[in-house]
Amino acid sequence: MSSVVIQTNQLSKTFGATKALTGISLTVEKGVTTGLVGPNGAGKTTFFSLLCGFLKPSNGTISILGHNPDSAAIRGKVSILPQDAALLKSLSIGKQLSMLAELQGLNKSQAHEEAKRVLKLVNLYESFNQMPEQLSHGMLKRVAIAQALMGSPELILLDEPTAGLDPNTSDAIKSVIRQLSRQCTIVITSHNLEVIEDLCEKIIILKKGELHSHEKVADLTARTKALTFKLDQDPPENIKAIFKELAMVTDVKAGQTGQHRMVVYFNDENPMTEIEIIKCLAEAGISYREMVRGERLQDTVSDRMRR
Amino acid sequence: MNALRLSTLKSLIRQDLYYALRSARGVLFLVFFGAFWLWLFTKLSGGGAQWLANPEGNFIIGWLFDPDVARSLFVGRSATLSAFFLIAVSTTPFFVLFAASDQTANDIGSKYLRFLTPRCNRIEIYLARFVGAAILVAFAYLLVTVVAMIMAVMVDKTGVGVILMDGLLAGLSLIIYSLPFIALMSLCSVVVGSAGLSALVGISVYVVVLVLVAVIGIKMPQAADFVAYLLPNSTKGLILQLQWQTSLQSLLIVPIYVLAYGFIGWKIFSGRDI
Repeated sequence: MSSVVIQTNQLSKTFGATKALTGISLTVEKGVTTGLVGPNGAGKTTFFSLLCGFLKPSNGTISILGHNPDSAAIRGKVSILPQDAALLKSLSIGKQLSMLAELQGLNKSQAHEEAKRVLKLVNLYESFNQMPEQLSHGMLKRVAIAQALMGSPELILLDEPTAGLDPNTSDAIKSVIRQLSRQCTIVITSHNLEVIEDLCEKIIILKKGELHSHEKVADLTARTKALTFKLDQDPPENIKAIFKELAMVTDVKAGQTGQHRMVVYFNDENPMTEIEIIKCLAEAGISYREMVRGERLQDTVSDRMRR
Repeated sequence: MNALRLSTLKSLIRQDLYYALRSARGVLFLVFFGAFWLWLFTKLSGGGAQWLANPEGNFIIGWLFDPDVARSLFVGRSATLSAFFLIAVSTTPFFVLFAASDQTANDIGSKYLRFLTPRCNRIEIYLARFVGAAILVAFAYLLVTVVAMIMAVMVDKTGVGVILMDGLLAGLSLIIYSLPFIALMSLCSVVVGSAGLSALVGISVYVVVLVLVAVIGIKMPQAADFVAYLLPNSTKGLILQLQWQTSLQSLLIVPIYVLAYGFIGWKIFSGRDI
């Protein structure tokens, strides 16, 4: 069986005179949880909608599990969390999920059980008999996630799975996604790069409708040879001079004004290096609230977007 | 690419009907339809249609519709059932355009289709919505036809056998006659994003073509006849005679309309962004 689950070739989409996507060619391999990111207007939603078959490409081709996104052969093998789709009114959540499960080939009682199972996964079992009108935005989001978890899909496409969720629910959803990523391939779009960093092995960055990069998250965040500090205030202007005496420090990058953030890069595997850097900070009278090994994906991607 | 799976089609039709009876649009249609026929049956219940079987009544019907229709419906038949049938056929466009307006429109607008397309092929969704609307309309018309038959038996002196056969033919004719309208609404509801707009588009198209036919007909009657074929009601003349033979003739024409509207709608739906 092919190890490629998604393949696009020179994929383009225009809306009237507006070019939303231009010449995207990439592959997503089986079992690799992949994040799709980019600033507003980068073409994320368009690209995602093309993968899902919601939109038709203006040019180029898409292959999902070796088939066209419209192909009957992939029905039930691909699950989708669309970002802005609304449930039917006047029908209970449980009934609606059961109906969707029936369309995946389950009989009535199996569909009923499947609806219960996925609602439990998103902590909404008690809402089985409630109408969509009675649920909050966050709860509706969880129902939408629940429908994407039904059956045994080979590929799950999630558009902003944690947007609008409180931190506890967001963590619970991330845990479910993490578990599922062991069984199938997942593609996630999100503005929250911490989610991408947490869950994804690879990241696709779109910029102005074009493919900016497609690489491993670990390569982007340089996990082993950088320290990211959250400071009490913005780092001083002479921050590079402060680290000049530490030969292993190769670069220091200050965050934008008001971010109170700083990344120190080094080229030494010695565990004492981190202590030396912290000592240097203390000697300069710079206090920090938080230190993380590696560079935050948020900073790297933001940097790239500014370039 | 768009294979049709019967089990999925059946599930979709069942779900469509289940939802239709609980959704605002389905309930609204049934309430308006029910209220209209309740009002009309109260008018017919006292034998109010029997004067139509008189020469004066026949003349008026002949003037309003066609002398053949007047003779066919009101000579030797139950006047109550015939009056019901005449009114039912005449109001079919508006009720059916309303009842069938939301086949895919609201689901396109609310993007509910995005929950369906990972599970169903577009052809299954499109066909299921057509069949679902057809079953809803057929159920509604069969129900009022049965009520009209019962009323005809109680009010008119026509034999029960004749009323039963005419009632059966009337019910079937109404269903056949409504199919092209439902197909027209399949087409209308794939181009807009709400049921209301879809109904408006359908009714507007129908009325505009009717006016066009009337205006063209003043100077060029033959051209008007040709333009009138755009409308889904070209079988009205055949259907109104309430004869098995003419109804069977209309059965040959109806599929052409259903296929034509349905095909154009499908081409749009299969290629459109959702």
